[in-house]
Amino acid sequence: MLSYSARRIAQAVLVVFAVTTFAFVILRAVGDPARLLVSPEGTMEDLQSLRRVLGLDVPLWQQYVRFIGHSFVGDFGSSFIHGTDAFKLVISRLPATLLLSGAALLIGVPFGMLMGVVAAVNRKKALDQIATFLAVIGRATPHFWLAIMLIMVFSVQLRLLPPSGYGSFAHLIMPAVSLGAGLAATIARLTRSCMLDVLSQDYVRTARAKGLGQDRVVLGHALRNALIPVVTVVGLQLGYLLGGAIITETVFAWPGIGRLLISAINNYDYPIVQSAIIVIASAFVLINVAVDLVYALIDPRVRYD
Amino acid sequence: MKRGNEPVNRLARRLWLALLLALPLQALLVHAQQAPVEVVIGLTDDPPSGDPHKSRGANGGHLLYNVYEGLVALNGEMTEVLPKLATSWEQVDEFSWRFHLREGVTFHNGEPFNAEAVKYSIARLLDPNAVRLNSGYKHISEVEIVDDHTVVIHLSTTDPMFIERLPDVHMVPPVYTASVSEEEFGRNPVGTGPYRFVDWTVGDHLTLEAYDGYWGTKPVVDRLVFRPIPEVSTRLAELQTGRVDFITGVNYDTVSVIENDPSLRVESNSGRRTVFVHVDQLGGFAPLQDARVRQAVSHAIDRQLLIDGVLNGYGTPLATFFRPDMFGFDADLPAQAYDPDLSRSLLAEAGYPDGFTVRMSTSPTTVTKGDEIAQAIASMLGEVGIKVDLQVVSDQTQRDTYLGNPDKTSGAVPPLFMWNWGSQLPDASSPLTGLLRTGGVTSYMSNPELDALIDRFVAEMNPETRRAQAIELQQFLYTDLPVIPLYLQLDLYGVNERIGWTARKDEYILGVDMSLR
Repeated sequence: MLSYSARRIAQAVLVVFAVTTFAFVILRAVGDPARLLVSPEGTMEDLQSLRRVLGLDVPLWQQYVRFIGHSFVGDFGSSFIHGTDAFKLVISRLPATLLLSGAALLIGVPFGMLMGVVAAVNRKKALDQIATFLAVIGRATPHFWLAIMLIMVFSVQLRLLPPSGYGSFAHLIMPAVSLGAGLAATIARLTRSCMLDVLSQDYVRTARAKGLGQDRVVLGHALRNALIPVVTVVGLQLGYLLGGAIITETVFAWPGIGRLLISAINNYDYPIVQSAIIVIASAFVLINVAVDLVYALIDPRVRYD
Repeated sequence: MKRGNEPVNRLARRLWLALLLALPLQALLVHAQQAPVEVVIGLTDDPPSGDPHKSRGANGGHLLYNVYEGLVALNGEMTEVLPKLATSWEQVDEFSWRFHLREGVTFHNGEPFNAEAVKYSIARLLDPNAVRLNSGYKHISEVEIVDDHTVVIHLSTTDPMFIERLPDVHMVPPVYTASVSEEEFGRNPVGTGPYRFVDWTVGDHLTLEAYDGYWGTKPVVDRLVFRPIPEVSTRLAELQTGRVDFITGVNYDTVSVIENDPSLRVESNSGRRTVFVHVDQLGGFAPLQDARVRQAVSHAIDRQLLIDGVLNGYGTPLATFFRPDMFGFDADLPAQAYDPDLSRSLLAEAGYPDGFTVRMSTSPTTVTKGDEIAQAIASMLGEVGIKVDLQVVSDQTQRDTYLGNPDKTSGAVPPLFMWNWGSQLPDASSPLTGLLRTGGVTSYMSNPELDALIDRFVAEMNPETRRAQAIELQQFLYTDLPVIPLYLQLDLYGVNERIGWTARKDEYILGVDMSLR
């Protein structure tokens, strides 16, 4: 188990490094930040001197060597636009993103699993159809639209919740619900199909045959086995959430990583994009490792020796 | 208790109740009188930085122009220069100006404002080794300190618009600025303005508070809170629910929502940005090198229809990119006329009786609703036989493609593109040099005669001669059409009725302009 973990972590570092390098090259192929910063009445010389000040006038490989060298001492550069330490700025946005992701998971996972189990147990009955219908609606509704509708109803019409912002429980409700709804729908559909699969297995029939109650069969025997794919998907979704729910964060003016990233991409603010990619890639990779380790906990067949 | 006492008791109870209710109410009223007046403003994004020498754009300006001041300022319509940190000034000779500085002014941190601060601020703005927005100031050769409250600024070239340039040169406190890193300074700005910086959580809010030691008239509003709310419908919801008092970047389509709410109103400025179709004359696309074809394009466009149909009526058709506030504006030139028949005959005359196909590039945001405007133009051009192959790209791609393009003769870019210019000066020198003069960052033409005329106009110190040059330039722009002018783009704001405020041409929201109704 230990050597497995060590191997996975080494792989993780490699993945983060590769992603960062890829981002570095792609970013510089996409656009020139000096052109967005130069004064419109400026001259071509002004443009060139901006490139020099930003360190963009030297060949790509030299920029890369400088970037790697600085990265090792924890210096990921200053934001071209804000002039502040890019990595610090990204990290300062992490709490808001973590809070929103956590809240969305807290809404999405229990609701989704409950709906999935209820649907599977009541297969082809009214409850199943209702749950499936809700799940399809949940998947098909664009985040953006749901978010705006929530604001229209709960803020503008009913005046119950603040339309946007950050800082109190009331601010969290609508973003978390709009993000959690889609998540619940995904998990409900997955749980339902996994449960159906497991419920038709021999060992479930055996459990029923030996006289166990419905609750014990469903929760004790079936659900635990149906969880493995669900855990994988929850892990992946959490990775996406940590990358910043860009649309949700934008609509609700939530100060998370996603909004910072999208504005940095729009402004070709390389240092912020690079820092954000390092943070997001690390989170993604770590979650994947964690998911693999959780498998061993819930499924005795999985061992990492 | 006897029955007979009941009415008395009831009365007593009521009195008690009234008293109980009145007490907190009175306390509240007293509190309301003393509570600081706060105005919350919903912006489209965070200001980039509090560093006045490197921040830009309207969102940056909302912060900078409340916190900092220059030696002079422009009024809201940009037609008049007002004294600020300089009480008066005079021209010493063609190349130098003397400024008499206001006495008794302190920065928010207590540092005195004096000649040393002017010298330091201008030197910092001109630092060649830092990111600075100093393109318009590179001709400042020296700041000479005469005494503590007098400076002479020397220029290396003549500049008729030098005073009008100065509102953007914000004064910073030398001791504080030099003692902190650029990063720290950008996050904790200190100026002499009516508002001092309080706190800033990027992505959430920025708070400014009226500065007690301000030299001028104290603003009515004690506290300004700026909130970045990128999504336009969310900003509108915040305004409707009264949680913000003020929003920028109002969508032309949702104006009616604000107009129909009795507690809100729409404010619009007179427009700083001129919108036009720029023409690439260097890339080798033959038809557009003929002025008659450019005239045909211009006369095929119904500007009023664009304004009424796409922009909900907010816009003013233009004759050239000269704005009415600009020096030498020719009010006698009418907006370019819509005349498709004339268009067709001009095309035939130029040898394109059946029209031609041309690529055109636009983005939804470089120009407000740039995608819809360009689609409408494409269909208008189609009416006279010019088939437009329209490419809609992002604002970044649009700017990246056309701004500072190092190889303008390659012909790789679409020869027609939507562009705008928001000169900060009441003068056309910046669009003339940036858009038309050979070598300008977005110039796609080369005409030595025009270059010479522009050079004379930019440096001419005699107002009458300069006015004649301005008329000559407008005549040229009107007939040669190196860019095809469309309209002045107006900025819309949603404002709570409790606040008195009129929009400034320069797009900035200043606490000193606000009153309570």
